[in-house]
Amino acid sequence: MTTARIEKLDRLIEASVSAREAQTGSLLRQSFRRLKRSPMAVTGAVIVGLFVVVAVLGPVIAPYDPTAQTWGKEVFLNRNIFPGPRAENWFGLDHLGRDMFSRMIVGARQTLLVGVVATLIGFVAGAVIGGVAAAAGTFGGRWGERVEAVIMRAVDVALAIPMLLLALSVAALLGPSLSTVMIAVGVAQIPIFARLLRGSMLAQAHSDYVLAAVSLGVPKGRIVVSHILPNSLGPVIVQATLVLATAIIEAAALSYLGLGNPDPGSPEWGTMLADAQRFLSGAPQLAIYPAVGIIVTALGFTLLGEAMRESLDPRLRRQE
Amino acid sequence: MALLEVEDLRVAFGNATAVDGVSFSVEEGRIVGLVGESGCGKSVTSLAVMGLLPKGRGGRRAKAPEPVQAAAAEPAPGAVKAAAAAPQAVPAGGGRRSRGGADVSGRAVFDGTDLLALTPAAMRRRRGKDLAMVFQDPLSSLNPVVPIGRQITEVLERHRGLKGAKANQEAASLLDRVGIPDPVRRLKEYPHQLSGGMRQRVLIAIAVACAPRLLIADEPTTALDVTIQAQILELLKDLVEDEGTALLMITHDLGVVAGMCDEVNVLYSGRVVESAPVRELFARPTHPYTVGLLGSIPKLDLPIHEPLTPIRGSIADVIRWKDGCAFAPRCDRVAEACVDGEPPLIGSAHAHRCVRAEEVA
Repeated sequence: MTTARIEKLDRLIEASVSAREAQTGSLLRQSFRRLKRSPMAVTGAVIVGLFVVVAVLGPVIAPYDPTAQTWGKEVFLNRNIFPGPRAENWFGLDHLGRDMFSRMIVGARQTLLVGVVATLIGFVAGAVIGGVAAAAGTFGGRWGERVEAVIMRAVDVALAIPMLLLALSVAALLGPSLSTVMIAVGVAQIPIFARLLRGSMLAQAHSDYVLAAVSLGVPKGRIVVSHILPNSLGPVIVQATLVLATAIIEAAALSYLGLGNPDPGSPEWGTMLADAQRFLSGAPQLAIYPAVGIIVTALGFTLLGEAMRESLDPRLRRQE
Repeated sequence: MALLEVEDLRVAFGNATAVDGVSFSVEEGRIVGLVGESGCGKSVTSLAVMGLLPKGRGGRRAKAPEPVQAAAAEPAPGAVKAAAAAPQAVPAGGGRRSRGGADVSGRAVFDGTDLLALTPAAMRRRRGKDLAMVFQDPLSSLNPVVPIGRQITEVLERHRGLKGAKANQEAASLLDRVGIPDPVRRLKEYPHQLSGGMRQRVLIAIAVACAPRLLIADEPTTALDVTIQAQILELLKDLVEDEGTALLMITHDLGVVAGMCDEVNVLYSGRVVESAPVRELFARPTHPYTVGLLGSIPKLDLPIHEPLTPIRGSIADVIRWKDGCAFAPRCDRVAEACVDGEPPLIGSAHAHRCVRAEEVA
């Protein structure tokens, strides 16, 4: 009884000490500290980290040239013979006798590139649109409110279009290429970012410290840039990590539909998936590798994003 | 002439009238209290004086010559009042609905200029420099992601043109003046790293950064515990005495009023019901509402288990001031005369708005 009570007391003291430690440092440092304790965040970070390393080092660590049809004579398409995993080719061979393991590794780079660039396009354009709308609506008077209404209705219309359809139309317009995929996926994300930032900024615009800043005669533009914006970016940054996952999947989907990089030699997970489809009954492993790659990567970004959202959310912060 | 002279201030949100003809004045170097319960219009009054209320569109519409209203042939402020009093007279579908904006009328004369008539840009130049405000909740009134030093220098830069190291130096000396130890180190800290009392001190430092002539404190101690309350009030009092700043103190705490203020205005349902020097008010409360407020304060010398004496009802059940005394439904001494037309403000030095004051006293 007494020992149990002492243990409990110790635990309480420990908790209060760590709580006090957690209160020092900036908000970001605090969030980071919480992040390190979350298994979800750590798992996500490990996956993402691994993926980024592979993507960056790609051609250096790949054991073979991903485009060389070195073992072409060992593959017999009409008899469904695709040599599976073996000592020299860990993931086996694809339909042209290329090393799947090397193709997976080198393909990671394009996947990451497309995901990051598409997310950046969506983030920057969406943030500008949403930011302008929120600033105009809050401080622009009657005209500003009209500007905001026009912008946001346009965003609503864009949101109503299914994302893949929007991306497909953009891709069809620009013709199949790698940059097409980036732009298409990025454009499809713009309305989401615009809406999110606007909502977040409007919430901040009605907060007490903005009123306090107004009461001190701080100019409007200054209030938007140095008070409202820094407080509104949190959810948008989190959304960006989540969108990164979606962007990777969508980029793969566009490649799968034949709108990606037209170069058949250049390895890309979505294109690899599309190629594997023809041999699905005979060699399902060819589809499984890129599919698992896409899923795990998207999962990693999603886990990290979700954990970040939780650690930055002040409402959840109190529950610790 | 007083530093701030508020005359017949009216604020309406759509059809709801929050402030219904408030008049009071603040002399230089004096502390004036604005007292009342939640919803009586004290905060709205202060926000209106600072020009911080969102602009409504109703005012514009009411001033436009409308055939039905023109028959009443009233001046513009009256037209707003009429619109508020008779909502059905205003076509609800006319124009876009306002986003909860406020229609403000009346005058708030500060040192010879009517603040309510200033352009937004002119008002912005005065806010923070000539008149500043201390808000109720010190945590939410500070930007959580900006170090406090930056939040102070922002004002110094804007109104006093101080920059860089000079501004930092001035910010540190301001923090020192409001009693924050180790000010240079504190400049780099974020609001969440400070205690509640410290945060309120920072807010006060920001408010007095440009030596305003009028300081408005909107319940500056409500979010703090009692010992810190006393310190903050003492600090405000010192600052006012040193600088000769006028202080408009908005509070629901009569204890604060007794300890701080020179003059008191008691607000009820958007109107001043009693206005007097502080000793006078506590010695001879005249309006039944003031009497009730004073009676509901717990006293140390009361016997144990003696219940407190509340004012019955709540501020929700009001009569419009036009039709009689808005306090009548809650008043113990209500009579026919109370709901027989608008009660006037009687007296000057110790003014009250009760038609039965002689009989009650």
